[in-house]
Amino acid sequence: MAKGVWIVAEQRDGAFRKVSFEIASAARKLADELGDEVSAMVLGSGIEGIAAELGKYGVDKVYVADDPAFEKYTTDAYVQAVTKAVKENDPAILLLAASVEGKDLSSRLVGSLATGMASDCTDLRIEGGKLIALRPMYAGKAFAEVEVDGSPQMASLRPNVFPVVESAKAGEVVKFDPALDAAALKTKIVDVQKDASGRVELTEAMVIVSGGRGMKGPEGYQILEALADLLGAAVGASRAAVDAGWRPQTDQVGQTGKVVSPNLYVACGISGAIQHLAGMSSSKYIVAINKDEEAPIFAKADYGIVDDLFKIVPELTAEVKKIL
Amino acid sequence: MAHGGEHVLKVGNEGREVFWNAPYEGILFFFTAIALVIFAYGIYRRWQMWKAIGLPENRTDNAGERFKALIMNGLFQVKTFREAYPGIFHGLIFFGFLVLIFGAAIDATQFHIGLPFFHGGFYLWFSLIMEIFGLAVLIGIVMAIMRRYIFKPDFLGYKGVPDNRPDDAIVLVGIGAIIVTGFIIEALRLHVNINVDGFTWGDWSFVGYALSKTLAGVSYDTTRILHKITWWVHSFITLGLIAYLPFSRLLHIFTTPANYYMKNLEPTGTLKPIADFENAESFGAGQLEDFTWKQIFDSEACTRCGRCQDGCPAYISGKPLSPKKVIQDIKTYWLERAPSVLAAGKKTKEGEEAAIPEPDKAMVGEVIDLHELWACTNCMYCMEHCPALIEHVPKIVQMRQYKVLMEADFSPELQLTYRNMENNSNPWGIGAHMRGDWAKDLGIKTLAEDPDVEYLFYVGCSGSFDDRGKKVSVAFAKILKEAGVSFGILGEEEGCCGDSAMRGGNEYLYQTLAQMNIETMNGYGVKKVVCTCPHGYNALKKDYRHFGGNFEVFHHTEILADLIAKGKIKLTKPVEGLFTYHDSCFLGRYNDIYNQPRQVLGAVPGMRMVEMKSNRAKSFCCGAGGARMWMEEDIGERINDMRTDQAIDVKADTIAVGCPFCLTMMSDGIKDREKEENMKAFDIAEIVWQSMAVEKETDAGTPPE
Amino acid sequence: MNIVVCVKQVPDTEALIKVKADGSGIDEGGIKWVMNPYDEFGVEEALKLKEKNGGDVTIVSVGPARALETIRTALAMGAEKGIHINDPALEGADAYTTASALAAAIKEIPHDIVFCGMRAIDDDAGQVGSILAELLGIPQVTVVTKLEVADGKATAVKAIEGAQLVIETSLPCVITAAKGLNEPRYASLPGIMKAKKKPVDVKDAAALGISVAAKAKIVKMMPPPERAPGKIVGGEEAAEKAAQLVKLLREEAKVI
Repeated sequence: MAKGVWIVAEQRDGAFRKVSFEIASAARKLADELGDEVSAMVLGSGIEGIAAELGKYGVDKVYVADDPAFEKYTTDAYVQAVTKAVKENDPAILLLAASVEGKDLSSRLVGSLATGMASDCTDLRIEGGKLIALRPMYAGKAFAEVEVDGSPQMASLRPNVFPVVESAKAGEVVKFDPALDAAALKTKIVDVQKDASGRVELTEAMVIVSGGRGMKGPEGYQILEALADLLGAAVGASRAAVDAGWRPQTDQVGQTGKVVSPNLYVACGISGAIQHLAGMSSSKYIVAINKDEEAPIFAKADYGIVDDLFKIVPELTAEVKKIL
Repeated sequence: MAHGGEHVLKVGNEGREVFWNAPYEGILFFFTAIALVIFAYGIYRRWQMWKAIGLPENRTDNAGERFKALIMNGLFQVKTFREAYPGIFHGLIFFGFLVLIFGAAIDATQFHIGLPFFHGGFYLWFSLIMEIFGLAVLIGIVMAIMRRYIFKPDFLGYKGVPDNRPDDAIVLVGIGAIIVTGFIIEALRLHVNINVDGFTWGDWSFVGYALSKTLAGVSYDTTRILHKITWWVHSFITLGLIAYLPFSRLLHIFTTPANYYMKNLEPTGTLKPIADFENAESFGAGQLEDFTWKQIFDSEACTRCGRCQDGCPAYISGKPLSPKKVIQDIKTYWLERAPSVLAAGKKTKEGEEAAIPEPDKAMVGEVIDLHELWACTNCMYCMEHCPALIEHVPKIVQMRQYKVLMEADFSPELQLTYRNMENNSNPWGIGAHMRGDWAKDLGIKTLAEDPDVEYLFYVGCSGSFDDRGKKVSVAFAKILKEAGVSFGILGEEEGCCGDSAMRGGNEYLYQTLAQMNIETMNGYGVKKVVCTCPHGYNALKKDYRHFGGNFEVFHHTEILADLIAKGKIKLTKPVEGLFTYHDSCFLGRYNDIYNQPRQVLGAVPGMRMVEMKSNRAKSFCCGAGGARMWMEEDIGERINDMRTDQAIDVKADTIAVGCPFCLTMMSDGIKDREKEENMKAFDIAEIVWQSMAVEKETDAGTPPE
Repeated sequence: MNIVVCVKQVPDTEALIKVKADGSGIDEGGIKWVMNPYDEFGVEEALKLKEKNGGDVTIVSVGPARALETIRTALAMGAEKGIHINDPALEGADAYTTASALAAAIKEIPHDIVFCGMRAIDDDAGQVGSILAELLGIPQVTVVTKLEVADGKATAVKAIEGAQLVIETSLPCVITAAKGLNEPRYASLPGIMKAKKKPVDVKDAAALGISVAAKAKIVKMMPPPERAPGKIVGGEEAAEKAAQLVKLLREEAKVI
């Protein structure tokens, strides 16, 4: 009988990512309802030292797969190890982050474990002993409650949505030998090109400053970048701006770009096409700055300023400087 | 000489001996025969070339109307006279030569057969008329030479580089020389006459007579020799020009009138729909052979006069497109290609398929540059003003069709626009379900709710989705309600009119959209349609009939003018300011609606009107037609900014328009020129609604009806 | 080179999504169906590879009868043939079942590269490509923005948080396409006409020998929660408005 709530915690360069604490906290909550333990699995190279940290967020047991092969995330190696661990321990629930890495890993695990998964969930609960996940569909134009029937019941959790809750547990570290079959490793990372901006990635950002057609051209983004740097924010763009070639495609927020849910989304010169709103309407707070008072973005905004963004944004930057 | 000798030339029986002092008629006939043979060969050769390439097209139906066009533009030079300077000099040369040729015919008849009346009063008047028209031709030629070689207007060249060919000089100098030598001959003859005959009627040949006075002291024999020489020079130049004509720009004497006769009888700007998508192997014009013979013949009627280029918004704003250049480039390539096609045809034996060589140049991309092709706004200036009735725009659209339909090779912005039109039936790609949202709170019924209305208000994409355009729709709908006009909209059932697809070369998408609209409208038994967008107006009125959409279509300015004239709406509240009206191409040049918008504005109290430099048929495009609305404008200056400058120049504080595309472009122009503080752009419906002073009353609590 | 592209028909991004009153799904009335935009990148990349290396592009889609339009769209762009997996039992299938159906169909045909979109914009799950790779027993690179194929291996660029990874994989493999990979072509008219005559095999679950039991079931759908109306920050000057906003964000929203 499958038992226990498992998570795969995500670390990079020897430090846990915040989303790992979010899923640990969420797992703790489910485990408490089920009267079960939370186990975490963490993979990496030379990361044994950090494993116990997860105990702080309610993890009872941490399985550590420490191997040079895990230094960087690769689908093949990680899937092999996690599949083996899950099959050996047979947990009832398996949670991962819906981050770039987590999405890749969790989806493949659905295949290797022949189960089902609710991806990119925004809420989880237990009903009749079963995991019920709430997840947006159609880029947030509808929500669905999903019941996962397979074993384990898998869910990936949207970053920035689940609260980080501290609840001290043992965090007992258990070494896990993945016994990797090297012949099965068919992919390798040949290069890592770090982004020059050093800014936080859109899907992970707590604050996003985003610009649309109203920016008038690539130069306009300089004032957004200045504000973003001050707030530790990511810079996003609407499809119009990306299609015009003002910003790279990786910056696009919207249904055909990235779906984001930061605490604060500042939309500058974005009229608010449905396809853009779909990508950011789950943000906690939305600020709209637009000259056109009838722009649809104002209907979604918590705070709106009807004015020329080229006047407002520099003033905002100045104001923020005062308080930070 | 036997002829002409019957009359004793004296006062009361004035005349002259035709062919006096030129007793070698046999030789002249010989040279004339040679000239005519060369002329005939030239025409025959050209005829063969005209027949060599091009798809069939019937341009000889409805002879009455065609003959009328020929007389109006050929004989009366109506189109040519639209521009004063070239109109005048061309008129001088044309009418001058017409009369001179008639005179020459009289001369010849007198010489060969003898004209009983070729003396006395008739002769004197004949002399005077010949003199006047000869002088007219000479003045015309001088004016033409001055224009081409001294004034050097840009429209005779391309981008500041003159396009003066040897042919131009040969023709101008040749014609001038015929006249000058004619006068000299006359002067020499008069000089002899004065000396010999006691001649008294010199003033009837005042030019020659005046000239003859410079010959005082020249002896009879010398004069005879000089006369003989000049006479032969005159004859050889004339015969030379006759022989040269088929190979020169003078060919337009035949080709341009032929083009008048073969003019397009369809309404302005309508494009021939592609009939069969399923079975055709090629769409649009990818090579010369994809044009009809008439489309190629157009380039033969072109005299490089440059009027098309002179008003082309693309050219003026610094883009590579010149309608003249397009036509000339087609001609140049045709001149290369036609002989090789002809030669291939000759080698072929009866019953065999001719081994026509593969075209060595792609029509689009090599003969016509892609930047030229996509710069056209379909504004119709070129076709409106071409004195040879050349049809530039359909050729451009057909070449676009080739790029879009066959090669799917066109700008990414336009691809996105077309996808949006495919998926959501509007160029912005806004959800199709939101089309009727602008009317939500206005109590306007859709035809689904009530099909029993007089007018369908076809709102169009701008009026339905564009924030600025929506305000125009609201204003116009409120006016209609206030005037008690029975109307309805299609709401979500309405689709994009497809104009931008058609003019951007995506005929397939256009027809799909048109057919859906027609089906919907016919389903409701729609008879009358009113549009606030001239693009929809033009498409519904002229192009939808090809697919079974026969509606009586009105532009909202027509309806507004009518409502005002009938007193159905009262404009009472003054709207202060200096207004200028920007003629939309699809309203003005396409549909001849110039007056109604001005009438409507004229009825607004308080308003002062001023015309921009380019207005009415010469209006300068806003830059958005021909699918340009959806494309980047990255070469040269922005057309809308240049148009805005014209409004700024006349110190207008409001640009009134009757087209949502123009409204966007003019608003953007005002922003670009940083005139937002003191300039605005409004649709005429908005101005009318403002002047109706109704909203304030309802706002103040008067319940709406 | 034999290339397979998995495509899905989805509502247009701008479509109005109305959840049925009983929460059993969405109201499909009035929806314009299009090819999933990420799948379009896959089709385009497949066609580019074919044009460079030769071979065939096969389009596979799971969906009801209308999904055939989407297969035809891909054929119009230039793919050679289609496989349409159409079975009422697969309606609303979960990712695992869908991937099983695709895998069963693809196993029967030669495949050097299989393209999928990184996610479908209807269910937004993004699972199928990876499950398919697992079921086919071949490696995957997901969310790819650049791809090169040479010498029996593929080199793909994938954007992760703050960096671009260059990943090399052996063939055959599954690539899931992200925006930026290419600009999908506009189908030419002869392409559209020819597509009508290209072969499309129709298969059902029985023919593929797969189980249709879902492991993740949607039990209820609901519209998104309404947002409370916001407020317009007033003020005369830009500076005043900015100061007001910063105050609100700090004191009321507590987000900065």
